[in-house]
This record gives sequence, structure tokens and C-alpha cells, in this order.
Amino acid sequence: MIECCQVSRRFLRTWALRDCGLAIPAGQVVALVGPNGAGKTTLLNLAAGLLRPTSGTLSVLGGLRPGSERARAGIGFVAQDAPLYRHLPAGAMLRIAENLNVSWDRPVALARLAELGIPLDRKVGSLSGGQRAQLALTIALAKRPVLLVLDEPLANLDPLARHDFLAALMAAVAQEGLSVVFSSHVISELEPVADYLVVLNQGRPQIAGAIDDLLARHRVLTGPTGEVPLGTRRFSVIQARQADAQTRLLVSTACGADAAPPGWISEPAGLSEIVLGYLRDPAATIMPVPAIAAASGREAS
Amino acid sequence: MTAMTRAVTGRGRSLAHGWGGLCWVTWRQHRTAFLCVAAVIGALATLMMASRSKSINPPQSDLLLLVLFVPVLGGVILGAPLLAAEAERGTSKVAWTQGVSRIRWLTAQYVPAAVVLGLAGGGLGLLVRWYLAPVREAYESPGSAGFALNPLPFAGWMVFGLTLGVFLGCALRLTLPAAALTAVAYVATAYLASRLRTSYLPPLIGPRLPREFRSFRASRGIERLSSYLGWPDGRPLSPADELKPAHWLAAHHIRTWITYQPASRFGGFEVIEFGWLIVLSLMLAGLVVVLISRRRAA
Repeated sequence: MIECCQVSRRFLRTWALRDCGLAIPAGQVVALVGPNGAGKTTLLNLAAGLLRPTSGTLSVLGGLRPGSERARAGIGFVAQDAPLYRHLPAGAMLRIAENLNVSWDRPVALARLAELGIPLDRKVGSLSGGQRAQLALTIALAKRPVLLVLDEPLANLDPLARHDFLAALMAAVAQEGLSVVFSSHVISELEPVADYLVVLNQGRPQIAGAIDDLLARHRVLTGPTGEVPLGTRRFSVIQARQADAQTRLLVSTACGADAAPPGWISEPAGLSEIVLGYLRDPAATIMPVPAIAAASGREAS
Repeated sequence: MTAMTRAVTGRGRSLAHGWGGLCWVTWRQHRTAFLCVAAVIGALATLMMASRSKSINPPQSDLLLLVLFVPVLGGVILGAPLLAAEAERGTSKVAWTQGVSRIRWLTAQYVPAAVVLGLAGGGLGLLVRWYLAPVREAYESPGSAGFALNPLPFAGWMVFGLTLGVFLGCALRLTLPAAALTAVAYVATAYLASRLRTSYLPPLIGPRLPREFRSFRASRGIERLSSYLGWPDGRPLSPADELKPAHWLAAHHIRTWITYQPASRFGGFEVIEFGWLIVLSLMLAGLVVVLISRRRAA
């Protein structure tokens, strides 16, 4: 869906993305996670064709140039804070979007707004944050995209609105079979909906993989303080926390769950714990190096 | 994969509602600004009609001064926000990620506004011509600022005011500074034009005023620029010779020559002014196209 090959993007002197190599597969709900300033918005704006990379190449929807006619028609994009024409009524906003697009599913869009209880004659600016986000999602879906790109769709929404938004999103995914990439910095709320995770940190992807796979590959080991079993090759330690009585290790294992050395307790690791563990150690990565990216990277160097 | 093929077959298909739909978008977004400009033009037109019917002769110069600033209004409330407001509110991220291309979107935003304002300017110019019919020449000679109020030049000034606003809004991406700068740049350009206007074509030199100049009503567009003492063949006297006594001047048939723009050039001056305003507008619009196609959104 989105393939980056050594993509870098610089704003004046700061690098928002550096040598970012990434291949996001189709048919997934992909969560893009990372601390503020990690480059999430930059990556999504690049995919939407609003930015051009300073160097490197980026393709979307199977080889299309971002921002090209077919890419624009195939990607439903909602920018950060869901910008809309606030001085216009919701109905006019919808018609504007209709006139700007090639294909448009008006009945479905109107039905969605009716279902959400958003009156068409109500000014967009007077809608609640949740309703605005839903309106932006409706507009992005009405053009019948193949890929939905949402930048921080849940920020500034109250818990109920977040739940409703995610429910609407998942319903659309189930009905249309589209791929979704959305960014967030709250890990807990994307776990139930996402099935693929990309963690960006300091302009580079640090984790990319299916969430089930990530959960299966990581364990939390608890054991006596002082003897961290680093010698074993069966796992690598991502993060070690030593307390008075015990040591807690976040480890990635290559071969299943029984990696615990004698005297240690092995538990499944939560997604938040895995992500935080990696974010604290930017050197640790877990990346399926995409064949294409690896090959062309070698050619380039 | 059916979804994928849908996007791929989308190539080259026209927009759901074509250019008409795009123009409707422009109208719906900027309806208030269009109506404001229309209301001001309507009010000025009404005032002109009302004050002319009362008394034939004295033109309300205050009223015409207001008319002179209508293009600034167009540039400030319609031109400057056209792109700056999109950048300020981040809505260009919406407009530029839909099926329509940026250039097509920009064309549909700018061209209808330019055409409407240009036609309004032409209409207002005709109205001013009718209003001033009894004392026409005072405002129509290229030497006065009122020359801009002739139908063709005024259409050009309206288009230029709008384009200046659009360009500055695009470059600055902030509505208020762009609007302020639009007003300043417009007034500066108008002032410059009023100073340079009489030099659109090299002036003619004659021994005396042509007869038509004396008939005030018929002197449309004629402009006496300067006079000087010169030899019978039109060469000016050197400063030293000018101090010679009168009988020397008479003996050498030294006479007063005048430089002027003949009335026949009036239409040409209108076309020249309209022409350079449109060319300048097109250049600014071209710069906007370059900026927009390279620019990142907001």
C-alpha cells in the first residue's frame, strides 16, 4: 500500500524522516505510532502527495506516485485536526467534496450523516469535535478509496467520540475491504482495531510488523536481580529494569515462548510494553526488511 | 483486489460534475465575498444614478474616488483570502487530496472570479462614462487618475486587483497581511500608472493646439503635456538661446511648441492600459501556478 525506499524529508535544518525504508502491506489496518516529532505526519503527508521527499522514493497503491491523479482518487486522506470549511454547512461541505472528486457515493454519505445525527444545514464550525471527525471520515469514505490515510484521527476526541469513530472506521473496513493507515500516539486504543503496527522514532521506523506476530515474539521475563542471563542466544534483551528484589526483562525471542532460563518466570508482553521498550532504546529495531527496498538500496549504494 | 482495479480504471475519468461543479465550489466557498463586492458596486451605481438625475453638471468626485477603490476591495476580500485562508485553516489539505488536480482546482477558483470582476469593472466603467457624459473630458484624459475609470482599463484594474490579492495570499499564506499588502501594492501601481500613462506612446509635437483641443466637448482624451520654445523645425532652444532678447527670437521665427497626445489615440491608450494590466495579471497568475504546484499544503 505504501512503500518507502530510503525516504528522507527535511524541513529547513531538521530532518523529519531519515532514510526511511518501509513497506506497508495491503489489506491491513495499520497503526502508525511514535512520540511527538517522530515523523508520523510527515510520512502520511508524503503518502497523500502533499509533500515531496527530499530524497528517496515513495510509492502508493502498488507503484503509483503519491499525488498523481490515480493516487489521489484511490486514497481517502484526513489530515491532522480534520480541516474542513468551518463557515459552511455540513451539506455544502459534502457537495464541495463531491464536486472535487471523480467518483462519489452520495447516498452512502448522506445515510452516514443521518445515522450520526449530523444535520446538513448545521455549520461545520458548530459541530462537536467528534462530529467533525466523523464528517471528515464520511468525506474520505464517500470517494470510495482503496486506502484510507488518517492523521491522528483520535486526537482531541473524548473517549466516547473515540469509540464511535473507531466503530465507524471498523464498520467501513468490514464493508468496503479497504486498507487503513492511521497515526496515533496512544497505543492502548489502537490495539483492538489495528492488525499491523509501525513504530516511528526520530524519523526512522523502529518496528514494523503484524501485531499478533509482535505479541508472539516478545516475552517479559522476571527473575532474581544481579544475574541477567545475557549469555543465552535464544533471546535478545530489549529492555532491562532492575529493582531491589527482581529484574524485569523485555525480550524478543526467535523460537516460541519457552525462552526463560531456569529460575525465571516468562509472561506474555503487552503491546504498550513492547512499544515503550523499543522507544526507550532507539537502537533496537524489529523490521522485516522489504525485498524491494533492500535490493534497490543496495543498487543505490 | 476489486477495490484496487476500481482505482486503476479511474484513470482519465472526468470529475463527477466537471467544470460546472468546480465553479459551483468556488461560488459556494466565496459567496459572501462575491456578494459583498456586488453590494458595494450596486450601492455606488445607485448613488451615481441618483446624483446624476438631480443635477446634470457637477460630477461627484468623491463618489468617483470611491469607485476607483473598488478593485482594491475585490483584491482584499476576494483575492487575498482565496488561497491564504486555505493555507491558514489547513483546508488546502482537503482540496489537494481529492480527485481534482491542484492546477485544475486553482483554475476553477481564479478564472471565474477574474471574469466576473472584469465584467463588473467594464460595466462600472460604462456607468461612469454615462455619469460623466456632460463633463466627460476631465476624467477621461490620460493625464488624470480618472482615466482608469474608462470601461476597458477599469476591467483590467479589477482583474489586476484580484490577481494581486491571490498572488500575495498565495505567497504570504496569511490573510490579513496579504490583504494589507494588496491594498498598498495596488495603490502604488495605480499611482505609478497615473504618472506613466501619458508616455504610453511618444507624444506628438505641434506649433499650436489642434482645433479640436479648443472644443472642450470634443477633446476626449487629448492631453497637452508640455510646451517649450523651439526653432521652426521643432528643435528646442538651448538654455543660452532662451535668454536672448525678444527681437532675436522674432527674427529667428522662434515659437512656442507644444507636446500632446492626440484625441485619436484615446482608444489606443485604453487598449494599452488594459493590455499591460492583463499581462501583469497573467504573470502573477503564472507565479501562483508555480508556487501551488511545488508547494506543500499548509
